[in-house]
Parts: sequence; structure tokens; C-alpha cells
Amino acid sequence: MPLALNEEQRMLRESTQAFLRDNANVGHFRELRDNGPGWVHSTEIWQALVDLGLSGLLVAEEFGGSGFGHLALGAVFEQMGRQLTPAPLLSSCVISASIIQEMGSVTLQQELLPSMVQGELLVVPAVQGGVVGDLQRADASLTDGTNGLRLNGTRRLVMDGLLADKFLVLASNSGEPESFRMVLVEASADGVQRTEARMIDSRCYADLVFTDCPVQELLSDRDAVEVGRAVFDKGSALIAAEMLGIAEELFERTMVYLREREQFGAKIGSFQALQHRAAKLYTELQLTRSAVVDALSALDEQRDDSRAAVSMAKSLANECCRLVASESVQMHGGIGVTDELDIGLYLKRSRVCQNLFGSTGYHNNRFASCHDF
Amino acid sequence: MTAQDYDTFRSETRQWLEENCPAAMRVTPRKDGSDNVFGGTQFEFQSAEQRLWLQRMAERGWTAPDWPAKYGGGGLDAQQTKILRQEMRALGCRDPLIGHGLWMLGPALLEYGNEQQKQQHIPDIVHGRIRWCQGYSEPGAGSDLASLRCRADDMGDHYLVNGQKCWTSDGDKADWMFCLVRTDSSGPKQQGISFVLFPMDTPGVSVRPVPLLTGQAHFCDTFLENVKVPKENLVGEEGQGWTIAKALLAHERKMMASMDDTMPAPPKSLRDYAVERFGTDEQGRIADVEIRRRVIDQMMRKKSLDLTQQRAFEEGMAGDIDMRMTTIFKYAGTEYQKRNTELFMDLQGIEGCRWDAENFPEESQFPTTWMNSLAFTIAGGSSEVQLNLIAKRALELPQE
Ligand SMILES: Cc1cc2nc3c(=O)[nH]c(=O)nc-3n(C[C@H](O)[C@H](O)[C@H](O)COP(=O)(O)OP(=O)(O)OC[C@H]3O[C@@H](n4cnc5c(N)ncnc54)[C@H](O)[C@@H]3O)c2cc1C
Repeated sequence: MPLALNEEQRMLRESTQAFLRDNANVGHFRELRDNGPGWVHSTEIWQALVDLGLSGLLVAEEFGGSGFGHLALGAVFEQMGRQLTPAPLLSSCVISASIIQEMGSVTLQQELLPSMVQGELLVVPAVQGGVVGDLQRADASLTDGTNGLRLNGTRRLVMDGLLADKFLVLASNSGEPESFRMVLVEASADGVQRTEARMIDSRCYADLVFTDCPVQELLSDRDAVEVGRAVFDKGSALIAAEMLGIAEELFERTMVYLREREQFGAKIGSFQALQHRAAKLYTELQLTRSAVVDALSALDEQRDDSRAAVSMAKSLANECCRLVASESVQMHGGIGVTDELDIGLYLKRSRVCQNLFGSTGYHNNRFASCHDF
Repeated sequence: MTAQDYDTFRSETRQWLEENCPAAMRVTPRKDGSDNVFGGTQFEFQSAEQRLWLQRMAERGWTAPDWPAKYGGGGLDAQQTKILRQEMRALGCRDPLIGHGLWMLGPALLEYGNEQQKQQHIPDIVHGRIRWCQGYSEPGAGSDLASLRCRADDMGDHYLVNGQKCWTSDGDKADWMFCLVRTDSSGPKQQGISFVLFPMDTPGVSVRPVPLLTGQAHFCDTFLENVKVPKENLVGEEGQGWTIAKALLAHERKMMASMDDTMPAPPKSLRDYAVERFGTDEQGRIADVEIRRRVIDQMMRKKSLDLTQQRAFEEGMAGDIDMRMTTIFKYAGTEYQKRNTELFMDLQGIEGCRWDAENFPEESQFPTTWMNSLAFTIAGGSSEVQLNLIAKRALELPQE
């Protein structure tokens, strides 16, 4: 169970870091937010990430990916967290690409995956805010009629929903709330109503209403809910990696401030009350990093305990981010609550991440049930 | 060494342990530490197996696996040492020997001692023949250790040491002391400190045991009155004591950070105790939600601490480590242990406070373990001092 990156992964981390720092950093994010439609997306940034090969890290080579794995991709997400880089990487290239690799027919895989890796096609899971516990929601159902399979229902706060070309929906059969199928819906299909949903992190969420939409089912002998669960583990672990990056960035910026800002004729970083709190945050960051790396490596190795490892990572990342973000604001004083300072941008993103792919309570519960209590 | 060599080493080690570790030495030791082997001239083995196990391990140098074979150590590299520990843990083998010599003085002597000192002391430590105690703290010098005043006057071929040490763990059971003394008080307090060694039966040394919360007299006040210390017992240079003292403290803190890893896993986990005590609901959850949450927290804490130790090791091997992270271990490890012993007691309810070793040997370990854990966040540099250290060394925050 590797907890240290190998050389290849380190190189990826370094090249991603260098690229994002120069081309897709928090300054760019702010610019896009202030000058855009209120939600942030940049086709240039997205294309650049694709050109770096980041969209294919979990996709097999035969479809144009590199199959580098979770630990490598985690290093990328961490850097994206640090720079607050917006991109539909998680939705399309992790969640949807994995579902299609698990459940799609060979034809469908050949049709979709290469263009997803190329970044030309965005397939987005229509799951409410990535909420793991709500996977089996009864808010979308399928009817088999004379004109084929049709989808009715709603999905709210779908991440990257505004960007999607297609949606993947896990929906129950009408009248059979226990039986689920995975279907693809064209975003431009008749009966898809998509509205912008604003969230505090200014990303591209949409509320979706499906009315008698034509769909294409992913026929597979794999159980759709099981696949959904396994794929959401990937999402949880990678979001945890992004959160680790966010927390580290917040922390480092705050340490810089503690070394610079003066009050009472002294650097505020010399006050022991702040030093001890900073040292505790540092400790939490170290523990969280270990848990996150372990979860990613558990997924790479398909370890038996990977679900417990993922839940622990997400739970720790949630609490670490919560603590680091609020302490970062506090230690900046008044300027900490202004929009001028980048701290707030990280705070807002981290606050959303805490609820994406499972809250602390959800993951604590799941961790405990993995250990039979 | 290749990966294959390590595999071979692992299987040979396992086989050797299986053949040589007596069954009685694979029984979980009591949590209160009463089964530990400290060695030294006053130590009385509790059983023939205890003595045999120490003898066998010491012959291979495996009481100090990563020390040079030249001085009786095991001569193993870091990876082999880890494998040995893993295999011992897997088979439930007890540590054959523990104590200040192995944990603290040995590593410091190997780094700073001269050849003659290494030859004289290291083999005795490996074999548990001599027990050491630590003369650092004084009534006026605890966290602010560098302000120590115990003085050593230069008498030509020897020093004459006068002063008082306190909190000397096992001062009454030890054979020798490693001691910080002031050889110069003219400059800044960190200078002018020297590191010396002397036998506890040197005329002028006297100890007074001080009972702890547990009732056991773990540490002593130590009085030093005209104690003659030959100059060959000075470690390093005169005035270099503070550097050596800090290096030694780093070893002490490392050991304390993973205190409960030096013991085989307890027969019953936290989870099992909690399930047994509180029962489960229809969904198999621990029925008491508050206890369940605390068990979850503690399990995650423990797991993430272990992972962090492991990560430091692997990143070290890969040459991709930020050494600053190691500053957290003493603080995080001992605070975890404190919360854990507290929770173990809470799991027993009011029974957790039962303290009657004669009739309730199992239960009464809990309060003792809890009381001991309170000391770990103080000894070897308190949690507050550790946080200061993290802020200074790892975070480079401005100092007053
Ligand atoms: C079980 C046990 C065994 C020990 N064994 C030995 C031994 O074998 N040999 C030996 O030499 N010593 C030994 N010690 C002593 C130990 O090293 C000291 O207790 C420790 O360094 C703290 O010093 P003190 O007790 O004087 O507390 P103090 O230094 O007086 O501290 C009192 C309180 O003030 C806090 N404090 C002090 N300075 C600061 C600061 N700068 N910032 C914030 N808070 C601060 C401390 O954290 C603590 O909470 C042992 C102690 C214990 C508990």
C-alpha cells in the first residue's frame, strides 16, 4: 500500500502544479467569476488540462487514456484544490467515464470514451450534488412505453450540469422503487429542462427536470446501484484530495500572514495563542494527508478495506477543511471576511466540498458499518 | 538489498521468531506495564521464559536491531528493522527489553560518544545488563530545561558535581545516570551545559522515590553532593551538552509517540469493548450514539496516526519527505493515547474506576493506564512545548 508517490507520479504532480500555478490559478478563477455569467468555466483551461493528459488518467489506453490510476489523479486534484482550478474533470472523466467503462457496451465505450478523454464530449452524472447516500432516490423514474424507454423526474444541483452534453442517470423503474437502471440522456433531448443553479462556489450547477425524455440504457450484467456506489467512492476520495489541496493552500497563506502582520508592536505569529492553533492545524493536515493518500492507493489496489479507507479520508478531509478554513478567516481578522481576499474563495469552495460526496456524518456511519458497529 | 532479499529476510525472521520466542512471551503483557523487562543489576525476571527471550534476542543484537553489529547491535537496515518489528507484532512477541538505554542513551552515544565509551556501554545496553536513568529535569528547570543549574566544577582529571535532579524515572532502580550539568555559567544558558555519565553508586548520589498517581514510585528526586565524575565520562566536548541533550530528546519523543505500538495489540479492541458493553441496535450499531461517535473518532485517529508514521517512513525511503512533519508525532501520539485511555474507562462506566488489582486484575488496569497516559503529555517535553516546537521549527513562525 504505497503512501509515497513514485517517480512518475511525482513528475505528474510537479508538472501539474507548475502549469496550474501559471495558467489556471485563483486569480484566473476570480477573473472568470467577476466577468462571467456568474458561474465559472473556461474552455481554454479545460482544453489545456486535456492537453496535459489529465482527462485520461482513469481511462484505459485503448480509449486514449493512460490508466495512471487514483494516486496519480489525486495528486492532480490536490493541485486543482490549491489553485482553485475549475474543470469538469471529476464529473465527466472520473464518474461518468468509470460508469461507462464498468457498464457500457464495447460499442458505447468506443463511441463515447475517446471523445470524453479528448474533452470534446462532457458526460455528467445527474446526481444531486454528488450525494452518495441519496443514490437510490425515487425522484426519477423510467417507463417502458410504445415509443421506448422514457425518463421522468428531477435532479437538483447537478455539478457541471450547465456544461453537460449528456447526462448519466441512475433511475428506478416506475412503480418499482427498488429496481434501478443506468441510462444516458442527451442534454439537448426533448423534455430536458435545465436551469442554472447558483452555489457559493460559483461552479456550474444545474437543476434538471426530465419530462418523458428518450434515454439510452446501459445494459450490463453489473448491478447499477453497486457500480454507482463503487464509482462514488472514487468521487469521495478525489474530492478529499481536492480538499486537502484547498486546506494546505489556506494554511500556507495564513502562515504567511502570521509572519507578516504586526499588532501590539509584534508579528501576530509570535503570539502563542495563534502559534498553538496553527500547530494543531498543521497536525490535522498531516493526518488527513495520510488518510487521503491511503484511500487513493486502496482504490488503485482494489483493497478489501477500500470503502472504509475512503470514508475515513472524506470524513477527515471534511473536518480538517472546516477547521482550517474557519481558522484561516479568523486569523486574518477583518480582511478575512472581505471578498477582496482569496481566502474567501477557498472557504466557499471547501464549504461545498464538505457536502459533495458525503458529509462527515454519512462517512462516519459508513466507516463504522464497515467495521461492524 | 533487493525486494527479494527482504522477502527472504522476512521469512527467515518469522521462522526464527516462531522457534525462539517462548509461548509465554507471546501472551499480551498487562497494559499497566508490570510485565516489562527493564534489565539492569537490580531487575528480577518474573519467569525463566522472560530471561531466555531476552538472552536469545540479545545474542542476535535484536534488542537493538538497527545498531551496529560491531557493538553488539543487530546491524539491520531501516527496512529490515521494520520487518522485524512487523513480524514480532504479527506473532504477538513481547519486547524482550525496554528502557532509557535502548531508547535514548544508546542512539546518543552512537552519535556523540567516543570509541571507548561506545565499547564500554553499548553492549551492556543491548544485553540489558545495565539500566540507565535520565538526569535532565531540576526543580527550577522543567520545560525550560536549558536553565538547569546543577554544576560541575573542573577538578583537573574529574568534575565535582553538585545539585538536584527531579522526576528521575526509576532513579532508584538504575545503575547509571546520563546527566546534564553546567560547566560554565558565563554565557547564554544553552552554552555551558555538558553531558556526563556516572554510576548511581558513586558516593554523594542519593535518591528519594516519589509516588505517582498510580501509587507506584516511578520517579525520584536525585541529590548530587560532591559527586566525582572522571573526565573520560564526558560525552562529546565540554559545552556540547545541549546539542546532545536535544538529539536524545528527539529519540525519547519518537519512542513516546508510538508507545502503544511497542506493545502487541490488546486482546480486545476498542470497538469490541464498546459493543460488548453497550450492545447494538437492530442495524448493528453501538446502541449508545455518543460512545459510538467517540469510538469512530478514536479509530480514525489511530489509523491516521499509524498511516502518517508509515508515510513518513515511505517518503523517507523515496527521498520525498518534508522532515518537518515528524515534529507532530510526540504531540499527536500522546494526546491520542490520553483520549483513548479516557474512553476505555468511560466504556466501563463507574466500574472503570474500580481499582482493586487483587480481585479485579483485568479492570484495575484501566485506571492505571489512564493515569500513566496523563504523564505522557508532560514527560519528554509537554504538549504545549511540542506545539511551540512545531510552530517554530515546522511553521517558522516568528519568535518573541
Ligand atoms: C512520568 C514522568 C517521567 C519523567 N521522567 C523524567 C526523567 O526520567 N528524567 C528527567 O530528567 N525528567 C523526567 N520527567 C520530567 C519532564 O521532562 C518534565 O516534567 C517536563 O519537561 C515538564 O517540566 P515541569 O514538570 O517542570 O513542568 P513546567 O515546565 O513547570 O510546566 C508546567 C506547565 O506549563 C506549561 N508550559 C511550560 N512552558 C511553557 C511554554 N513555553 N509555553 C506554553 N506552556 C508552557 C507546560 O506545558 C505545563 O503545562 C518526567 C516527567 C514525567 C511526568
